[in-house]
Amino acid sequence: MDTPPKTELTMAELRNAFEAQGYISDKELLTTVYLALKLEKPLLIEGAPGVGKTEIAKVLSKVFNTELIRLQCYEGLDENKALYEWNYQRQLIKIQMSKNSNCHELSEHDVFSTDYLMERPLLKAIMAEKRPVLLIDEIDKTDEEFEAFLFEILSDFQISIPELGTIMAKHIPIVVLTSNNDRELSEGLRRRCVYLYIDYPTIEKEINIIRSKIPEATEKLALQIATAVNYLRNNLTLNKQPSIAETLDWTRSLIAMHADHLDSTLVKQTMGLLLKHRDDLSAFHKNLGAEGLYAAVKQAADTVSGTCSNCHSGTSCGG
Amino acid sequence: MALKSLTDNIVGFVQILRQLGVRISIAETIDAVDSLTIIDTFDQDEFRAALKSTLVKNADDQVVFDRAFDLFFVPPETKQEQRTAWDSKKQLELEQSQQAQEELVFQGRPLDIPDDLKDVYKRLPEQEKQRLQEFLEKTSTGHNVKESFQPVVENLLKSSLSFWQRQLSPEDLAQLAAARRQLLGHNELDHVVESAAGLGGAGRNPLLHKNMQDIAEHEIPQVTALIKRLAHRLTTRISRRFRLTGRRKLIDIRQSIRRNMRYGGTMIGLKYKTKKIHKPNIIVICDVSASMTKYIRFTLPLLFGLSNVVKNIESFFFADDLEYVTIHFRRNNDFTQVTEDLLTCSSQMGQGTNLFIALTSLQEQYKRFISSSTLLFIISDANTLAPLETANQLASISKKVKRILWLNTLPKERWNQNSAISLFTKYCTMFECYSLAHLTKILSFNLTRQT
Repeated sequence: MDTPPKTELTMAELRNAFEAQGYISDKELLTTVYLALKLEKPLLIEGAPGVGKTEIAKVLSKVFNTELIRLQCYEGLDENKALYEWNYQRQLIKIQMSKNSNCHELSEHDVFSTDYLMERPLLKAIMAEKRPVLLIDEIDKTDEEFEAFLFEILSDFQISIPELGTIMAKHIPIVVLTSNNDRELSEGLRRRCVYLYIDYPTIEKEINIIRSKIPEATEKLALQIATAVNYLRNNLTLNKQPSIAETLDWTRSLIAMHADHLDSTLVKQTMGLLLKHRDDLSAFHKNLGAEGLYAAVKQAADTVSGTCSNCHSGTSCGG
Repeated sequence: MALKSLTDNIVGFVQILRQLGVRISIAETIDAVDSLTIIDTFDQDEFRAALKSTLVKNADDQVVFDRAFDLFFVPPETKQEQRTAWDSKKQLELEQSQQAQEELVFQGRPLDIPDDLKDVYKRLPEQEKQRLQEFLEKTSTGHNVKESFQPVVENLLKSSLSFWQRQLSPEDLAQLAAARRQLLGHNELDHVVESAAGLGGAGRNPLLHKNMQDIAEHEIPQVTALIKRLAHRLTTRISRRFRLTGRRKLIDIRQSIRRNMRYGGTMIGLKYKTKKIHKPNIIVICDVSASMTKYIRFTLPLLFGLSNVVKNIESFFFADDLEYVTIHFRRNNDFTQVTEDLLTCSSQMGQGTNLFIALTSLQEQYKRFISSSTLLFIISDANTLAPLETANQLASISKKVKRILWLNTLPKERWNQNSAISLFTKYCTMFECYSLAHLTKILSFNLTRQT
């Protein structure tokens, strides 16, 4: 049996739901998501790649047991690909068939009906029978014109199709917009959204994430991995800092190698999972090296384990 | 007016944030008040998160928000202490202003000195104040010194204080700006505005706001990496402007007919044609004269970063002439090596500035690089010989290129001290650019579009 649809959640229920989905969050994040839901406003999430922005939309769709409609933005994305297109080929076939059959005169309404309308993500979200989660991913990759077009839709939640008229949203979708800050977004868009910035996690929070997503990781390994990644982020000048997703990939690969703790050989063998840029790898080998990282981790992990021994339970510590 | 209700406090807090440079609309203020009906206002973390997510829509502004929040939403007893401290500070400032008013006189009449220079006077060392007072005393009581001599004395004093103003560090300047900030006329709010502004520094990354002349040796790799990342934005923006959207695509009739012959001429599959993506060429001419050498740690990584991510870029140094340096900034070259090479080989490094000659050389010797799709960047503090001739050259070049963008390392408040700047800005768009935060802002604009 399907989970009964949830339309209203209290803050506590939202926290529990996020935890149940394995998303380690803090109070600021939960309050912001909660407000976006309650105020029925789009949630604009910014932060470095891989900190869990898109994941929030996925978690929300699971929490509300609803469809996740994703609009992946890219340079050159236009209204046709985001909103709707007429199925030109089908319309032509219909016209040809009616010509051949001579049975009844074809009117304009016959070929401009919903049968020939190809819904793209925005129209799909507006016409959905159940309140969907609309994820507009990497909005900063689009043109300014598309952004302006988008925030008109996000304000009114209605679309005008000249041949069909105005279509109002049956349910105001839960809208999540993400941005990597490649381009400054317009004030108009920002003003219409509830804003959340997600930074790289603290060591304690990252330990929780590792333990929650990969229960096979031992406490010691999780602590060492989180410390190592944190050390790399804070002490090396990198083109691309390792994200949470990369931390998890690294953990999985270490577990696949039957590791229960880090050592310099393992670091050396697997650094390509964390640093994915040639310059970053050479900066790592030049300025720190596997031995250097292992020594730093050993020293830092000893301190952290002394101060945060209660953080390893797999639940959120609000870090 | 006392801030009695929660709404009063929110409105007051919004006023504070606006005064600190955060843009907040009325709609956002209403959202913030609405959000408080949804959350538990007695839970400080929830309360903070609710205000932050509805009022602040930019990661950099979050630091300002946190600072103001911590100063404004405090227990009543802390508020009282803050108020007492604020009152005594204001009293002290009033006394200092009165003292300055009494000291800056000529034959008993107060001198007409702008407020920003009076602020500089108040911050002078006692010894220097004494020296200025002695000067005023002597000129006031000199033989045959008449009333009409006052403007001369005022100008001398202004020059002296302007000199001291130029010696101030960016931090001191920021403090002075904070002191001159238009306050709200409400004690409870003004002390937060001034205290939050006075804490200095801003943003997630302090390097972004650092004046690049003060950049330390060990910070250079970080600066270079940041600039490379910023320069990447320029490339994505440039290509974006010239790509047509699907709606504007043109049907390629010839290709469509040819393709649909198999369907008996019925146009089932349409073929479209799009314009080619056309990236503008970029020319960067970078001032390396004596007055700009302190910014070399900013300009070199900037040139290096741009050259690494932008293909069609030509780089030049200039001081008293133009020097072609593109060959040094090849992709994948080592930055330290490039810097060393340039510092030892460049003939322009540390010379006097004549932008007119440099621009003339550009037009005569390198005209092959100039076209209607060229973006010309000039990085300079605009201190140059022959400003009139330079402006004429700029006028001539501006007709041949797409746009001239001038990144000026001089703080904007000092632009009025250089009369040449108003001449140059007729033919180019000039941006204040002495920190990475400025560069970030500039690169977020649509640089290929005329404004």
